[in-house]
Amino acid sequence: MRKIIFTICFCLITSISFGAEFLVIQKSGSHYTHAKAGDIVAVRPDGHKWGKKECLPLFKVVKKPEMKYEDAKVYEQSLTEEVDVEIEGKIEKQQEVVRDRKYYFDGETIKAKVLSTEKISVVSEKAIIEDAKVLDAK
Amino acid sequence: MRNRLLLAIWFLFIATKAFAVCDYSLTVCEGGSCDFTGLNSAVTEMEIECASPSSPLSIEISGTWTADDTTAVVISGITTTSDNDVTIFTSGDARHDGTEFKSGAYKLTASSTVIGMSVEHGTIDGLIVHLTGSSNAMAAIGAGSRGQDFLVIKNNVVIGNNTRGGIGMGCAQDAGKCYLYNNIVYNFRNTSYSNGTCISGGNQNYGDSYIYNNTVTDCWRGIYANVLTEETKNNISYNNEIDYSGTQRVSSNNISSDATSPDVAYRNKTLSFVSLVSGSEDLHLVTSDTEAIDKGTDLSDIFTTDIDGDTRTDPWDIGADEYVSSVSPIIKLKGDVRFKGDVRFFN
Repeated sequence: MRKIIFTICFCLITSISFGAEFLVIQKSGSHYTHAKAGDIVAVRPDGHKWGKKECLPLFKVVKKPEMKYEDAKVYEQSLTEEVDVEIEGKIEKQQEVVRDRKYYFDGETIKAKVLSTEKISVVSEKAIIEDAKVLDAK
Repeated sequence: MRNRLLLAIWFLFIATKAFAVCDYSLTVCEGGSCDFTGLNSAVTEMEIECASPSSPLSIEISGTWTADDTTAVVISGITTTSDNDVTIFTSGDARHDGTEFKSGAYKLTASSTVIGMSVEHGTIDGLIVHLTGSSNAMAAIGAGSRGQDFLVIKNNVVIGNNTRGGIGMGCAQDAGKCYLYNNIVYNFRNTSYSNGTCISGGNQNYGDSYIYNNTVTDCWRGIYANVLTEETKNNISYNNEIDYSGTQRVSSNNISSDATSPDVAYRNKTLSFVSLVSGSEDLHLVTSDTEAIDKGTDLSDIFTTDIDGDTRTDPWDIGADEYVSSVSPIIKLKGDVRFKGDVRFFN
């Protein structure tokens, strides 16, 4: 009986994601749509086994043990806008990607790029996250 | 002399470690044994380090997957050519079996446009792509760029969020040559707003679309195209609100369950699939089918296999699947039988 209770408790504990890790690019791409240094490329649960190239010189892993993985997933979005397309005489919306990544680390905070009046240009928004701990992946 | 040589070797070692260089073949799998653990990370490296490649670029997704890859992917800003293109493909256990339910297969799932493909020469081959988003504007695979493009989207299983519409796979309105073949696409139907498209070959009279041997179902529009040059052949568009719409300029052997197929003889057909049940879809043909099996036209100048990698045999089947009997042939020999030379048996 104790074993069953122990197993259930263990399963409950391991099924909850504690913490998140952010894969952050260290170098800017040459094209305006590309990820830029500091951009968040991927978000994974704390303790994720990263690949052989998900480390320096091109990437760093930023650990956020206090942030729930499920909450952190929002920071791996692309920056998009919706455009009107006419199909059979009817206007429908279609999504276009403006920049590969929407969120980036600036120092120890995460900021969002937002669309300005000019399509290519982006400006930073309010700081959202503080106290990030920056570690190498390997 | 020896010191200089050692210095040169040391310098090269440091240089290769400190500065990443273009790696033309990247690998993606779970568990940390490959270059990357997610497709988007691999694409990001390729964009930054290989923006003007002098060889073909490839990303191979392999191994057994226990969880979905949940980061949307955008491929852009790589100057590709017909010789130096980009290919993303699955292999081994990561390859699906023509359904979204194979255990261990790679599945890319996201709530916004899942794959945005804006390179001039590229191929996406053998992925399961699931759009879970809640906007009609999104696409599971959106392929679009300009000029002399040559985009190929083949052998994929593409699933939508049925209540929200969106696009399964689409070529942008100004794309160049766009080939969509051997794909299975379903669940892009928004009845409230009368939209959602399984396959869009493009719009507004630009670009060239070639839509061959796809099987699509349960969308508002099944297959739509209105582009400059368009060929629609050997497709099954079944149980959609409208199976075919737009201008199907060149067509043959396209099946519909309603009266919209551009090919009159293939309208209002009833087909036999393994399962059309929501949540357990399997759009492989079954032996009892009499409308799609052996009713297609030969397109072997362009491709010769089906979504499962099975060889297309003459006469071709319509749709993404070429029906293959699971029953092994039995050859019985009796009496004094002798073979000499190169003897082969075919099913």
